[in-house]
Amino acid sequence: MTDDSEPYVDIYVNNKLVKVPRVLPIGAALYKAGIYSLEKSMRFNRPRGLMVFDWRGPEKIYVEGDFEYNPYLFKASDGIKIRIKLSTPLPKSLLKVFDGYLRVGGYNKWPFNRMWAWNIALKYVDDILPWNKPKYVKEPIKEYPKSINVDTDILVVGGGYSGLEAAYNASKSGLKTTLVEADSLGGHLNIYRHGMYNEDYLNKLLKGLKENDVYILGNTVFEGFFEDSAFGYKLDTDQLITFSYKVIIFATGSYEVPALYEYNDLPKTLLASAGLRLYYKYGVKPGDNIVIIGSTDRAFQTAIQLKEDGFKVRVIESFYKGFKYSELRAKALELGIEIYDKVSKITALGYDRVSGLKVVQEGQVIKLNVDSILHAPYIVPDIELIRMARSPLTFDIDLGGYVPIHDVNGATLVDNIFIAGSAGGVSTEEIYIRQAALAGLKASEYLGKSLPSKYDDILNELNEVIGKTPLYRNALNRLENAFKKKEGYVYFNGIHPTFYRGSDLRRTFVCFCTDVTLEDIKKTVTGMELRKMEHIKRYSGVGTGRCQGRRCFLNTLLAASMFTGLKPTEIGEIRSRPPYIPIPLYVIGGE
Amino acid sequence: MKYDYIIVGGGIVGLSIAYHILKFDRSKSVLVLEKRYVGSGASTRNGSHFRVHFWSEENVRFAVKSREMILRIGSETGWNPIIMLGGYLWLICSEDILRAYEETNRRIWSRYNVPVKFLDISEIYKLFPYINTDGFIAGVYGPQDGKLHHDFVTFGYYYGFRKLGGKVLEYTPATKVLFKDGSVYGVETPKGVIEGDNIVVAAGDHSKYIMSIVDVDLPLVNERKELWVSEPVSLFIKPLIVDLRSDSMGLYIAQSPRGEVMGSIDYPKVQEDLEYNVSLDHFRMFSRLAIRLIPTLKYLRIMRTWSGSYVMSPDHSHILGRDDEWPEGLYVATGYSGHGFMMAPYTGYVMAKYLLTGEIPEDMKPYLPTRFKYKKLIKETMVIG
Repeated sequence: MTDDSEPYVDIYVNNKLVKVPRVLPIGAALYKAGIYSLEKSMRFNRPRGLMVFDWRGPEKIYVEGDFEYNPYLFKASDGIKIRIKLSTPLPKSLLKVFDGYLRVGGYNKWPFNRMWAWNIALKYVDDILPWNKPKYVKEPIKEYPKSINVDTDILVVGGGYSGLEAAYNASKSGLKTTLVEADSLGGHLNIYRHGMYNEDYLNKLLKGLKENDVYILGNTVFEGFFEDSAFGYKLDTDQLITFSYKVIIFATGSYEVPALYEYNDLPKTLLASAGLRLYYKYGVKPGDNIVIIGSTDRAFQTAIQLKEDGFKVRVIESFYKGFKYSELRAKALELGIEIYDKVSKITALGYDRVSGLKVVQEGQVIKLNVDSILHAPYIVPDIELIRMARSPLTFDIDLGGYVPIHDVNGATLVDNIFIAGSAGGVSTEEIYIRQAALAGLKASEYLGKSLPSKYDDILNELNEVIGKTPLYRNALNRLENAFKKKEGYVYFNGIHPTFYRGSDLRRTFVCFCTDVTLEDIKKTVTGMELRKMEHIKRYSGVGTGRCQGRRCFLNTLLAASMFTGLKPTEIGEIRSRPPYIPIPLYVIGGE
Repeated sequence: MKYDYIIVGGGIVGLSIAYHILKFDRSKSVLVLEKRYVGSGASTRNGSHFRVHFWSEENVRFAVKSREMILRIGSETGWNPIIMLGGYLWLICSEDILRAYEETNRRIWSRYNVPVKFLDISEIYKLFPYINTDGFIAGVYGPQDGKLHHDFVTFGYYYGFRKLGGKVLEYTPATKVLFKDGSVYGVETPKGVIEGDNIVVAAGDHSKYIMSIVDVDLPLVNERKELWVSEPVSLFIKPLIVDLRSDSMGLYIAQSPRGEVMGSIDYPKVQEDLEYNVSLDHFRMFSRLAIRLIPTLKYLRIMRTWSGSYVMSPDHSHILGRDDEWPEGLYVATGYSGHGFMMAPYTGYVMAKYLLTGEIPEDMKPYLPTRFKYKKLIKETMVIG
């Protein structure tokens, strides 16, 4: 037994003793200890990176004797044994058999469509798959954790700055308001520096929430809607929560999706926000020599911030540009950040970690010495719960793909559903914060409270901000029109996944949970002529893994659109089903 | 253009029938109409298992032949359906039920060469150490049964059919069956009227509605079955396990070849809107029953939930063929009561033979829709899975 005050614990990784900090989530702790890969690509038998470091992320850690954990939600305890199966003893030819264990392609060729060959192959299934064998428990559970029922007038899902603004403004009228957040309050304010939206702003908001008696349900995931109730999962106490509400405000935010290029899954490849979370929340450096892929606002914000804090930073630009592109780009150049534009191909080098990057810029091959890659080529709104709630969506690539149809107040086509912040479309912080405030005020108006005069002030301010960014003004007009006409539209200007040209599509990953490559998507839509998202999903396995399509949906859609020439809406959508993140079976059984 | 056969419903049954018609006679023209996408109904919303152990001789005979076809499907269509013969395990808590199984084993299963194994508690413990055996007295294990990947069977027939020259129209619902002078001549769709000499309704939970358009009332009820599926974990539950205790609500648990643990309970509820929703109430009951049976599942994480339909007929068996009182050229293949997927390959075979020759194959005779009129019901009580 070690003392709890001891800052380090001893754990075993593949039977080797590793000392890791006690307070960090296990994924961050292992990253600090130099273990960058927790999983492997099953099909290609290579270490797999792309870490998300998020409670909704897809990565897993295998603790001996138990099922898998999300390495972000789980802290190290003494003596645990972690197994990372990074290679298999089997020859390559046998691996090919299981190429299709997750999708169809390879194993349907002769002889694997013969029972005898298949039966032999099956004997190796446990050697191939990295899944953990749980220890068998004999005793059934006597007592289940108590479940909680939350009864409220207004329910705000998400405690980022938009959620906080919405909750603060909604609660001013005296209505009972509840806010659900799985992680730390303030969301990206904790990791990004947004000028005037800093710690003081956050503290002021939190104080306001306290004064207005907003019930903050921390460590809680809103899991979605069943036919008979909306439910959630309290991560720290393993309790089931059921919700009754009159109005729901979705402030679920947005996230980055990975860039597509050769070997985009190498260890030490992270989403931009994951890299920042590692550094600013846990004090673990994602790398020293960082390259950021993307031209979105988030990509440049990440670059600027890391540069200011002493990292060596480069940016590789892609087509999809943020609303503050020129302003942020100028600032980045001023700080001395190297920016590579007109890049047509990227190849990541390395095996168990990123050791470099080969870039083709206007026909010239440049080799960059980097040790970590951060992705922010597209930012997409998190619409999964909104889709589950059956609020109609529309497709606008400028706003990040599928977005809920709503007006500037966040009102949707479903009466008691409001949208706040970047969940309604990606723009800038100045817009999110004001729009979220309006959504909060309008939600309380919907429940019979009068609108305060402040509403007009905020609306004027918002219009002023929007007026300054013509791109967003146009996007917002499209959305407003859709809201008035009550029907969706398609705004798509032919933006496609970047950096694939001339690269090995078989090593360009689209879906990281189930090992689906760009080649598979191409084969599905052109070879097999399956052009509906539902078919693409079923044939290739894309989006059927742990994250249920959260990270791969937009890339699949754009790739399918690129290979077929169809509009994304013609390829269609997938259905969202509860739960939002996987929930332990015994939590559901709560009293 | 006038088609020889229009199949209403692009699920596994419709595609199997369509495929077999063209396989036997390439000169026919066959069209499959599908309301949504191919396989969008129960063909993707199912437990992906197959078995031969039914309680009526007719169904056992049918299922044994269907199983033979399932085992050959990889070489036939070129799509490996990832079959694993993990078996079915029925856990038994009373002597009466055990005797009934022994009786059926002697009377039917042994005769069709698919005998089951009877396991006592220590054998269950040895073979399936994760099961909590409290409250059971024995187990019945059917080693001939197994699991597969449903999508690949559906895709196999879909591509097989297209390769033979068949045509599939997706997102094209049949809104009306058209008939004149006592015989059908086509269907109406939003894309216009499509003419055809013969119409086969194999539309799963939509069948009752489509047949009601021609004033035929099929005795079918769409029962909702809710299903839970976990994250992929190590493949440790090889058989499909059925808990036969009276308070277990017919719980079954299985693991897919990809490692996802799934399960369901009986909770009779009519699927009205065909939205395939799930309820928390039901989920909670399942959670407790599943953990009682396999305590190891406590920390298993559930990844996705959905529901599908059991299209229940009065005798829990499918309805194939036609009634002479119906308009000429109208056929059905529906009402599988939860066994549709496993029966589909042989259904395609017998229905195609019947449609092409007009003679009713021996194995199909017990399943005619007229059996309800003449009170010649099939004695089938085993519904699960």
